Amino acid sequence: MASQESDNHELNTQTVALNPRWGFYVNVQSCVGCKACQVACKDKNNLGVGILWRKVVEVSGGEWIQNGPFWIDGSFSYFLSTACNHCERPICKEVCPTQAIRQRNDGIVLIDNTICVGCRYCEWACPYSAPRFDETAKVMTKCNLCYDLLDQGKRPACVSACQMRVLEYGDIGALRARYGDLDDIFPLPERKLTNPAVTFTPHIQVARTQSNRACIGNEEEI
Amino acid sequence: MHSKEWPLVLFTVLTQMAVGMFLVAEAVWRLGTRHYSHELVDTVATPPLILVVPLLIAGGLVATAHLTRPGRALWVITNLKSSWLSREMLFSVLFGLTISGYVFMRTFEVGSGTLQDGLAIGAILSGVTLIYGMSRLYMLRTVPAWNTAATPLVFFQTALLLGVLGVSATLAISGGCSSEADTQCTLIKDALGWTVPAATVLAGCQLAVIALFSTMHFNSSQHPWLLSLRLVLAILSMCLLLMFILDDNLPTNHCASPRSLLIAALVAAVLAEGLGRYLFYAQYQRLGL
Repeated sequence: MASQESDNHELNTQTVALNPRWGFYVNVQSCVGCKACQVACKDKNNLGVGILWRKVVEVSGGEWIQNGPFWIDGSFSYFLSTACNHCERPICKEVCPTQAIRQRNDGIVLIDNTICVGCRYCEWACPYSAPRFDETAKVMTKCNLCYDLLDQGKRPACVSACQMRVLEYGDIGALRARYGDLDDIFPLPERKLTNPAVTFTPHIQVARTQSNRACIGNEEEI
Repeated sequence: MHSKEWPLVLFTVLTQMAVGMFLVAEAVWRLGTRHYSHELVDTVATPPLILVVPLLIAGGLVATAHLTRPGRALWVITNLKSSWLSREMLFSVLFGLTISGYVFMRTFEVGSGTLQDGLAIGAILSGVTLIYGMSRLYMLRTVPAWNTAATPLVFFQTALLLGVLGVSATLAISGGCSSEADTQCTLIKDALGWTVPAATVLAGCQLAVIALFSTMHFNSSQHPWLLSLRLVLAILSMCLLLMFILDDNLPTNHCASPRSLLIAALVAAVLAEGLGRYLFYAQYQRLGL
């Protein structure tokens, strides 16, 4: 784990000087669904009740299969930690009428809540449920990739908190080169919609989601 | 999601009705002045035109109520480059300004004919692009149910149907016929002679769309009762229009006056379109999470 941590730090140290295009990597195969990332994000950003910038989606499917006198467990489940993917073609930025949603040169998509009118159009549009409405402040909010920490050379809160080290951040090009470019596993939409800056190592059961009526087990959180 | 969108239902229906009424009232004026004096046509065609402004204002106020930070509403026009919501707001403002100027000039007989014509053309262009912009706003690539050619077609159909019905009802209310020889009465009857059949045809088309939609989606609809109610209201509206058209052939002891038939048809159509718009929002289902 120390080696992986230092590799990640080294990766980020290398890419900072080269004008990175920030993104996330998630090792879905190793995620145990502890939601430490979710809690760390909520704590760091002081989010109110019902607002989640990072969500852990519980995916399950399949069923018990009878084989003669025996029953075989054909069910499966896995956890997918997802936040704003700071897309290369962010639909939230396209649709926002006030230009409250802007994208930095390093790819981080931010909401300026001094301009947001709370029309919630970005909430309609985003296929990752990233923009969340703050009922108290009456504006939209979302993951900002802890840009304040990044600017200090530190890691995002979710990455620091992950106990299984399944979350990484860095230049998305470097992450894809290292881990591949898979970014649309169930229940996420096709890449072509917004070109998300994220890549995954899928759970071994992801391939079964198409034929086994996979569903989200915690829709009320998403 | 859709249950919170009643302000948008009202905004879209009222605004589309306003644009539709302007287009029809302007057509009545343009066609009427070919056969009747300007003063007479003004008397008949101006009242529906005047109604356009309060409809537009009502729609705008309701839309502003939808914002949680209405004080920042002026910022909404700043992303014309990519946001159809910004463009819709711009077209709304342009339509509001041109129609207000045009109605003022027509009502108080100020300004040259060229200026009035220019404002009319501006209002027509901005009104039509407003309806188009309104429909494009919903055509998000992440919401397949809205991202079809049916969305702009339905929006334009609503505008035309409610526009024709609104003008017809206003003509029937404002035109008091003292005698058959009254020229104003003749003009109103001539106008209704094509607006009401046009409304009937549009109502029939809308009914066909609703029936088709009901057949395809009734079992999967989240609101089968609202869908059924919409169908009933659309049928009622069309029947009332047919009764108006066949009025001369009805028994003399029927209780509804022609004016009441048109008003009732308008009310039924507005309710049907409001329900239809609510059901449109109920179709919202986004790809992904």
